[in-house]
Amino acid sequence: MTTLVAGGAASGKSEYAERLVEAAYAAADRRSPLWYIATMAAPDDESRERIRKHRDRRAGKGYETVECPDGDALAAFAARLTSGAEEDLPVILLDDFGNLVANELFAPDRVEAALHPMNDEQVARFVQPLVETLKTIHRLAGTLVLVSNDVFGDGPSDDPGVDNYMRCLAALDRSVAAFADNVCEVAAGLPDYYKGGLS
Amino acid sequence: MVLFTGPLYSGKHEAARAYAEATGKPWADLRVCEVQGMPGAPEDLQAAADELAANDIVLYTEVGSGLVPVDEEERQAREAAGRLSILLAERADEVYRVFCGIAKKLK
Repeated sequence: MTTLVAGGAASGKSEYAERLVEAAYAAADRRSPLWYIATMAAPDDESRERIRKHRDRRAGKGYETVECPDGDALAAFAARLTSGAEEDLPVILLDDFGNLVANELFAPDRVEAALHPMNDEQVARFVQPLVETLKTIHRLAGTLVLVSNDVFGDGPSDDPGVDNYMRCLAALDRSVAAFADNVCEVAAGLPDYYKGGLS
Repeated sequence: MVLFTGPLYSGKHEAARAYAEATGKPWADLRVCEVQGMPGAPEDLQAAADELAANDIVLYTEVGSGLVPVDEEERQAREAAGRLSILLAERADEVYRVFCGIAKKLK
């Protein structure tokens, strides 16, 4: 069962996503592995502080954290998953697409290209390996919850780097929403389902 | 007229095509109009909405959830765009909101 949870900054999307995986973990009598896929790179104090807050919130709940700030690290994680009996299938939370896409798109060796306008084909080619990896995780997880960031409310940007980022993130959202069982938008901590539905 | 509203790059175009296919209307025969922000001068919103409502499908990109623009003209355009979307929804037979490529019926 895969759920895409999207929402604006500080909408409560992470907390809601954590509630979903923690409920699945409890339903499996805490026997299944509980993975937290962290995507944030930590180049400065502000991001380290954010990471610390999220870590404190998860402390003592059984999460095992795996750092996947980019597509390669995520693919390596997916390659470690194996199929197994239903009750042993892992419960996985990935938080969030916004960081994953930023780290992948603006990696030091690729940032030059990311600052020129991308066409639809380039966007599709950028997103495709991430989608494949996420589909693999989707197949091998018992419960998978993916968090994404609604950064589109301001409309278009004249800055090609920002526009590329929005287009790549939106393409990833749409591709994942197509195979996910549930898709919701979180506002004020509450989910509004566009596909499927969980309480 | 059927209105598809949603954030930038949310898949409104694809959702409208899927709607046309599901309802058996050839896409090529439909009058489709994309509205991003405020088309033209925002003086007469009612007239603008009436004109747009003559289309079969209107794709409306929401622009009102960011910071209020510092520039007065941009501020007014954004205000007008939001108001226009309300007038369009009033005139629409059906309204869908598209999020992550998925359309949900609002009206």
